[in-house]
Amino acid sequence: MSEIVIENIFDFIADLTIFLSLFLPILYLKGFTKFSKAFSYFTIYLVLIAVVQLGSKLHKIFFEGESTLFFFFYFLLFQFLSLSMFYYHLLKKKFIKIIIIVGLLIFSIQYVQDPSLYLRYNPIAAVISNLIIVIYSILYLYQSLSQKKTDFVFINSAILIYLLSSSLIFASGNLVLNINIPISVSDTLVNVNRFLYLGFQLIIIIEWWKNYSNYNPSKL
Amino acid sequence: MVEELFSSENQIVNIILIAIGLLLFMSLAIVLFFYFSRKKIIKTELEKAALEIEYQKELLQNTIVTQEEERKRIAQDLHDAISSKLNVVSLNANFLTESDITASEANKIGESIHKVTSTVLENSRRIAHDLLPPTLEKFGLQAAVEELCEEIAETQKFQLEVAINYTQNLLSSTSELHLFRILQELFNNTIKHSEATKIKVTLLTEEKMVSLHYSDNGKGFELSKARNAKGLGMSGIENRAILMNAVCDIQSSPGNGIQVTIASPAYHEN
Repeated sequence: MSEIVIENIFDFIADLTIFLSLFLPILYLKGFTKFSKAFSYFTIYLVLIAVVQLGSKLHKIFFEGESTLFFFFYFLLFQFLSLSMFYYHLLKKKFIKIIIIVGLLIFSIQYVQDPSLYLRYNPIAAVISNLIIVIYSILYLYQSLSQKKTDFVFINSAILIYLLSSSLIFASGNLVLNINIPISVSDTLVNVNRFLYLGFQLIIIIEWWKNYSNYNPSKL
Repeated sequence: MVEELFSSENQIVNIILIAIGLLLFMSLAIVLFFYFSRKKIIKTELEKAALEIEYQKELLQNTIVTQEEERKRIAQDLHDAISSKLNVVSLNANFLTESDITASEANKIGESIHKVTSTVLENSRRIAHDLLPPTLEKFGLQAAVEELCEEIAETQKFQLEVAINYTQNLLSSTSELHLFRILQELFNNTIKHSEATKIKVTLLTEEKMVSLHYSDNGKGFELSKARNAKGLGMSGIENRAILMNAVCDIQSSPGNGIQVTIASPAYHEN
């Protein structure tokens, strides 16, 4: 009985995260041109993630039983690109662009050498791209020490907390897909990830609600 | 049950979950650490800013007090040396207009008027000179300092030891004026308060640095007390030194006279 209840709760969380990932871009798109470039890139990130989530959900419905793992490839790529640009505009450091180019090069070399990787899970790329973003977010925290007013305090903290904690889940991805490990293990990890992701999304809503909801052009 | 607990799959899940929990805890700790550090930094910065404002207020107050005292002094000078003398002239001139005056009396009065006016002229020249010595503007710091020292030597109250070697235009004209005023103030203090018998003045140029050393053998004073006395010379000297970007070192204690060193970087180095 209780297992069913827990399962229902996790199903609800799963639906909620998908709903929120569609809802957040709408919230942020309203301010797309009004605020800083960093804000625009964060909105782009939200839109791309929404597209990936929706695509993966639709794919599951229409092509039942087929692997949706290649969506993860786009998820990683979009997340790495848009969040790097987000931090590029916050930190104003040229090396971020260089890291983007180097990262893309390594990414593409990996996929050219082994095209089948596209349909498999790629934990190394996942962890490295996550950690690069985490490093940016720590740099931004450090930079904010000397500033009187900082933008994106909540989003930055959320990115740090979520990406660092979920890195391990992504890193253990292949282990979970191992045939010898029962499906319940991977379910647990997926549920933990959903739970963390829900927290991430809630903090993004808080950021919008605190700093961008009552936008008044005359104030700026 | 027990078997289930220790089965390998559960162990793996547990380890991964614990590790995720640790990462979560770590990232939270990082965020909180930065959050509280920032709060602390901002707080100390605000305190610093408040202190700075307080200091500037004090500086402003000192400037105003000094200005008022200077005005009082000038007013006194003008009154003593010019107005009162001109009164005499006016009175005498009034005598001249009277009809029953003899030629010899007129001559006498004329002579007196001449004598008084020339003193007034001399006095007004002296007052103007004290306000802004023309030598400084015309011939530079070296000549002005030499002249000032000569004037002090002429009073014959002190045994003066002077060594001046200043390269023209090494300091900006404002800094030269500041340095000159500092020296004037030091002399003033020595004359007014110190009961000194010996004064030593050195103005040297050393490799893009100009340094002024001043010492006397007077009765000295408690530095902290002098600093707190608003409108007095010491804080004025220090403020001028700050304005000319110089290092100012004042040493004094009761019974040991005063030793002052002002070291200023050359104009182009500023």
